[in-house]
Amino acid sequence: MRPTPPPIRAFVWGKAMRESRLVVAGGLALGLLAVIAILAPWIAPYDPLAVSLPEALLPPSPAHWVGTDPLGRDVLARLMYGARISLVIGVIAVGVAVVIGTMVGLVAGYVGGRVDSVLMRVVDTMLAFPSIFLLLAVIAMLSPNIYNIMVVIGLTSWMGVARLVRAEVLSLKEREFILAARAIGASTWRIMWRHVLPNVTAPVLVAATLGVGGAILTESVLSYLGLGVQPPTPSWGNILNEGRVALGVAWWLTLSPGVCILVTVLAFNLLGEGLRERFLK
Amino acid sequence: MALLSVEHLSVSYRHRDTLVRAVDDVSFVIEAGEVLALVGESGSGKSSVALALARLLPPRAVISGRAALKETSLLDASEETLRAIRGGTIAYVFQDPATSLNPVMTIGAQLLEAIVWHTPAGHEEARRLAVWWLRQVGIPMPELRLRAYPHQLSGGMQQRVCLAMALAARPSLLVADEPTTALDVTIQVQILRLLRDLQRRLNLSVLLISHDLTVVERIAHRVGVMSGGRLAESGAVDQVLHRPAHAATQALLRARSAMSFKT
Ligand SMILES: Nc1ncnc2c1ncn2[C@@H]1O[C@H](COP(=O)(O)OP(=O)(O)OP(=O)(O)O)[C@@H](O)[C@H]1O
Ligand SMILES: [Mg+2]
Repeated sequence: MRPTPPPIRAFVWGKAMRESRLVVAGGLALGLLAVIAILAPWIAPYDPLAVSLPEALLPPSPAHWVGTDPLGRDVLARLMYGARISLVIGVIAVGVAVVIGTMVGLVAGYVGGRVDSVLMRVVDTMLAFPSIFLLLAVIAMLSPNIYNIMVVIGLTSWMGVARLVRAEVLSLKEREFILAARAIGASTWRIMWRHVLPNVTAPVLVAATLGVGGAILTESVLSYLGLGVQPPTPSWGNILNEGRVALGVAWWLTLSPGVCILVTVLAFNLLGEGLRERFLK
Repeated sequence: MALLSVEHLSVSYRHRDTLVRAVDDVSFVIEAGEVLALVGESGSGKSSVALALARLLPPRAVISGRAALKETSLLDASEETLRAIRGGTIAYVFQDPATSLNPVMTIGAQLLEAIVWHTPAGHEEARRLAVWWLRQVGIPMPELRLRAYPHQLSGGMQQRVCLAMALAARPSLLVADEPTTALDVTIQVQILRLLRDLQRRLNLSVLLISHDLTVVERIAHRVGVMSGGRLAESGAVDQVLHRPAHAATQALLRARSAMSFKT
């Protein structure tokens, strides 16, 4: 008898945690980050927007753990608030990408034929554009606020998910339980929704986790280029951008957001790799 | 009038630009309460016949001929009619229960799907029916099993669940495509006995596909022997298996005696 693949619903988080150090490391880092982001209004040492010119460009000290910026704002407070922006943008952008990519991949893979060809040509075309130019072009037309950025990052990054889901669906479609579902009279939509979709959650979850890191990085790039989150609202990318002008005199301004981005992206990647090892091997 | 009548059924599969014929001009009938077995070597077109009845073949299959279940014509039915027929009047059980149950849905959810779609039962009533059917197919503690996932059951139990799913909407024809091939020998006997009991109790008509002539002798009334897409020979089980007229039947019988010699 052939072995059944492990069902994702049956997974136990605690067990997964114990089994994979990567998941633990990534998960802990992200948990901590999430707590900081959520509690920022209560635990931030200063108001992130409070300008105080006499205190401009102070190096790290017990009063300002990560120093101050050219306007005398506390960098630690700004990083904490920046974490909120980065995480929200990362998660929502990936949410948008996952929804679009899953729909497209599901329909292309299950319906097949001409629908599949058309959808996959759209994917190929979008992948052929360097996504940063696509992003810059769209953002230049819209105004660069948080909502537009989330949506636009999502709209330019769903293609990988679509390809992944399509490939999964193509192999699922040949499985006997899909035939069995048709044989009890289930409709095409019902089969896609109830029988195919739940079976692609594991790979999509992994791709989404890996994708959040990428989306956070993209947001930072946009903000660094001045096309992302607009000052005075702090985001890691625009803190980095503002620090650029004072690179020679205030290293902490560029180093600290850089480390935040690095650690967060790394944590998402560790978690994603850990989940992949756990569920897809 | 026969419950199911199949006339001049042919099935071809498109391969690039050519059509490869898998079933060639096959005709047979199944009466109410009758078990017809289809036997034949691998690739002779048995599954293609079975799946053609409810038009479950892939899009690359081309079907011709006529098939009717009571008064309903099957091969030209609308998609809507077909969905009511599938599971409602013609139900299927496939070869490998491990792959014909959805690994991420509970037994209960899959069973309820079949019941809710084909009967007027509300949720509570459907649940009761699901438990009742699980008991009918010999599953102990059915209330608990509703929440189990397929991989938590043994192969034999899985096939019992598949039988329950197939029968839950009271179909008049059960198509069982090698329902025991994937199971252990001891389990095979249990499942066959169950199938025969249910068939008698519910007065089911069954199209049973099998490699195994012993199985056929035990539960079929009539048998059709397929060879290269054609129905080489058909008739009452006694007659066909004891006085085979066709070379294909004789070959199957020889293969069986060779097998039983070994074991
Ligand atoms: N989906 C398909 N696409 C193309 N050709 C197919 C398909 N299914 C079956 N065939 C071909 O049709 C012929 C009959 O296949 P079928 O599965 O009906 O035989 P079978 O008698 O059920 O065999 P087995 O005993 O191995 O199950 C074979 O030659 C097979 O290659
Ligand atoms: Mg077959």
